[in-house]
Amino acid sequence: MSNVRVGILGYGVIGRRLADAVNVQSDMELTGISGRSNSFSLRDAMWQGYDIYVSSAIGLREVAARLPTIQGEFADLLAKIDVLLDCTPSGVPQQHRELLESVPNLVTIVQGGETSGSCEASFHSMTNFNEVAGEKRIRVISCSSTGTTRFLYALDRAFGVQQAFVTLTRRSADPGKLSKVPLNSLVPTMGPSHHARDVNSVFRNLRLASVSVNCPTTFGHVLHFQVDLQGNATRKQIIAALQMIPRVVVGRGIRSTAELAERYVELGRRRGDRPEIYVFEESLAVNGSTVMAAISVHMESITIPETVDCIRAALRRTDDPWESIEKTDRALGIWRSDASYSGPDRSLQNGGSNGLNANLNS
Amino acid sequence: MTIEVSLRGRGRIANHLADGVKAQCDMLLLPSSEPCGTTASNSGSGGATRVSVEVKGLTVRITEDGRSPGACHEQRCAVFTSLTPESIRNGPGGLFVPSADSLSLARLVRVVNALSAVERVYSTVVRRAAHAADDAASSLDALQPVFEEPALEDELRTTLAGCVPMCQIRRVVASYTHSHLHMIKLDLVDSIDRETLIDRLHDESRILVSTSDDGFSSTADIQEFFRDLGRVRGDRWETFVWAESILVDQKCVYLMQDISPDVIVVPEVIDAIRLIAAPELSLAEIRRLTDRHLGMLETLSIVK
Repeated sequence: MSNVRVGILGYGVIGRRLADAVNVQSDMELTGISGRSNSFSLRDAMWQGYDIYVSSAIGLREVAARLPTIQGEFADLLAKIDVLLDCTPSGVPQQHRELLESVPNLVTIVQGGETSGSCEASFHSMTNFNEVAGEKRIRVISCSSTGTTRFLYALDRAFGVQQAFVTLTRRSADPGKLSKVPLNSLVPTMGPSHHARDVNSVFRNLRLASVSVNCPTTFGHVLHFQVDLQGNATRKQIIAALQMIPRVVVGRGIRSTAELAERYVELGRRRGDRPEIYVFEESLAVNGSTVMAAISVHMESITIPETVDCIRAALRRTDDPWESIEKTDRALGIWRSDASYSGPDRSLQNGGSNGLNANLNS
Repeated sequence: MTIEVSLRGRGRIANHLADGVKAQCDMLLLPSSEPCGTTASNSGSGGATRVSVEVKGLTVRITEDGRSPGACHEQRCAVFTSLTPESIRNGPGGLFVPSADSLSLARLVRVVNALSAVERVYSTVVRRAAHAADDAASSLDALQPVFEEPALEDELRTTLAGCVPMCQIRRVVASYTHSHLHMIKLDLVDSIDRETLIDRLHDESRILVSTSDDGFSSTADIQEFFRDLGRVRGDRWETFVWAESILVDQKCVYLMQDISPDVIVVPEVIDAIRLIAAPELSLAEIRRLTDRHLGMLETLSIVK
């Protein structure tokens, strides 16, 4: 089977990480990067050795005019690829929609900033992998929604989840970006945040509520969960259930998102990235059938593995999500020997909440 | 009759309390050299009753002067909040007003309980890293989940005891200085109507309900409004609730509230002083007097 040819539109925070991720997959090849001609991101992509295609006319003094080589325009890239990863800012993907839909057999995958209604399907590797097979326009749910889904999937798989409440304390801007909130203020999202709705688009029948507040910080989000399980569980069982899931790290001794960021820089991760959710083990508390925990989500990198899996799912390269998850994790260097890369009952891979009990007592 | 108040303790809460006491027409703040429990019982000057107020950390104990210093120990004090019934007058060792987060949840539960019994309260509190004038104990750019706060959980359980069987609270410290913001979930015995809840919150003294449409889209907006109001230090004794944040889903209520942690205890402490020293006043009369003398706002709505 030939490699999947992948193009990326928008070489921003997510786009550049996806470029690197696709580049290391043995069954994919990164054909090129496209971006606006006045964006310095094209320079960054050139530094990495990627082929550049401009998505807007080149002005005289713009960045693209100063690059030594341009392979062509956006339409030229589209003609050469099977999948486009559209990583442009929220709202922009809709502008390209007509052009993309005119390209036969092209699959477009957008990020969570887009609404679920703008796509045929939403995606999370662990909960609805096969639902997107054959779809042409797919949305990988947002960073916090991805993290929430992983955490709740782990608990639901082991114990069954009756209902959950998640409060999100979110960074107001990525490092290096302008903040959308005042320097010294908390800005609540009025009404329910979009996260519960997003999670339910890939993890149905899960009773979930979410609220969110933006804080003047940049390193990552902190999510607090209050989860009512379908039965009692011990703290030890909860930890075991979380530890067996890929892309979930349960750790001790780190007290803040700043310390966490530093730790992953020291680990040698490119850009200090952390695509895994980090569960603060000290925060885990169990009271009968209620679990409370705090996790951290690294918004810049958490959706990268899921997006890679989405490529395989959409093109039907495998119908086993765990095969894709393991392949992605090995290539990205986040594979863990103590995680389980075989899933539960395969009938659970079509978006439903299961309530099964895995055997965690051994 | 004048109530003489002897205030012990240092720090911001003590300063705000002093201002609050001075605003009361029936209270006299004694010089800070007056120690607790050194005079005979009920023997304030000129027939006045003397009450001792001791600020310890984030909590406040109020006792009638003349009791032994041992009576100030918190375990012999009855907790006092807006949930406390009138029958609690003058507990065995005095009265104990809990810290800001517990106190604010008590105010909220008081309103909701009148519509439906509350089975469980859960709150994630985004807590300021430090007061603006203090050195921050946490990083300039970080969120820091607080892992274990058994004392706070115990205090919350004690505060809501008799009203709410189960209480859970978690805090995360943010690099920010103004206030504490609560993200709350209440599990009720019966479902309630959202509009009724909003109306009741509007009617409750010491709780202000407003919206981002009225100019309160962030905690900075709230902070600046109260600075502009002309109150000493821009104090805000009232809890602020965003109306848009109030959701009712079957038997669950969700909402967000913001509190000023140094200041919110002031009205309840003043109530407690009168409760001890003015037995002729009902609790409702006491609350009205406190609110009037402090200048508590009834509404923030631009359009009635």
